[in-house]
Amino acid sequence: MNHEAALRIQAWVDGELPSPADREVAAWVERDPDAAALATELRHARSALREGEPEYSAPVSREFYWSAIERRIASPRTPQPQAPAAPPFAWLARWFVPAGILAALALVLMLPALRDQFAPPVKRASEEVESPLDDISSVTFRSESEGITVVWVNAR
Amino acid sequence: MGIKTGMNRIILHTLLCVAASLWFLAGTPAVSGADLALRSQLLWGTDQEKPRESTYKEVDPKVKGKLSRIFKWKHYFEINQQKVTLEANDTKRLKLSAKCEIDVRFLDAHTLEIKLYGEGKWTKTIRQSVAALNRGELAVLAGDDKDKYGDAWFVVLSADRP
Repeated sequence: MNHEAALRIQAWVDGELPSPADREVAAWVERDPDAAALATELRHARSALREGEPEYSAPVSREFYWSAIERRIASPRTPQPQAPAAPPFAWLARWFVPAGILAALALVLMLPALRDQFAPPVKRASEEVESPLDDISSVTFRSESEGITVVWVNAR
Repeated sequence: MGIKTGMNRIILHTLLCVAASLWFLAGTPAVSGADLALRSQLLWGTDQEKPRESTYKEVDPKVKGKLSRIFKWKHYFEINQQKVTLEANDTKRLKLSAKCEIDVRFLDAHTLEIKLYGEGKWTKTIRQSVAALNRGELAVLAGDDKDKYGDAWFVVLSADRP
């Protein structure tokens, strides 16, 4: 049986054929066992689908159910909850953290220079530190009035 | 999500701050407040008159006046004079004669270290207040002249001011 013939039998089972064609197919199914088998199978499939399909019933009437959906579509959108207003100078606060990090870095880098800047000045205008040679001695004297400090080096 | 966005903003702002600082620093001339113009003089103190063949000249009156009010010698001849600009983290060696050299360097912004070398040997180290030099004071290293009894040598350091 070709596909065209099978579709014709399916239309007959579903009651979709006009009356001359309906009678022709009915006669064909009676005399042809293959067509009869296909018609029987199609009927079983149809009844299985009808009986096996679950039925859902709305808890409210059909009109009320659809009117609720319609109202929901027609109603204006509910406004989204607003984010809390940013405090004043929030834009300034955003810069505090990076500026603080930068200031700390700058302070660490500048510490040696600051230490020198604020270090107490040497108390005396000049002072001897060391004489590496054993046969060298020295005497330091200073004249405040002349603004001169002399380290006199004596070689023994 | 919110924390990630916040961190990204902080990183972005930090980078912007760093970039702005670098731009500012790049346009700022280097601070050279520690630079010091120094004058070093090697002097010969003697009672003798200047030898005829000598090219030595008497030291300038200001230095001579200071020395004369302390020491006994009549004359202070300048053997050599060198000027140098000393920068931070910089050591300068000044050869004042065949036998006399000094090293000068900043210990810190306020203090100079001066090392004296006699005949190539490290002989003495002193520390000198930079502020005192800038006030016009003199730092002097001196000693007896080995070759001429009764004479003396002086290494005089001062701030070189126009």
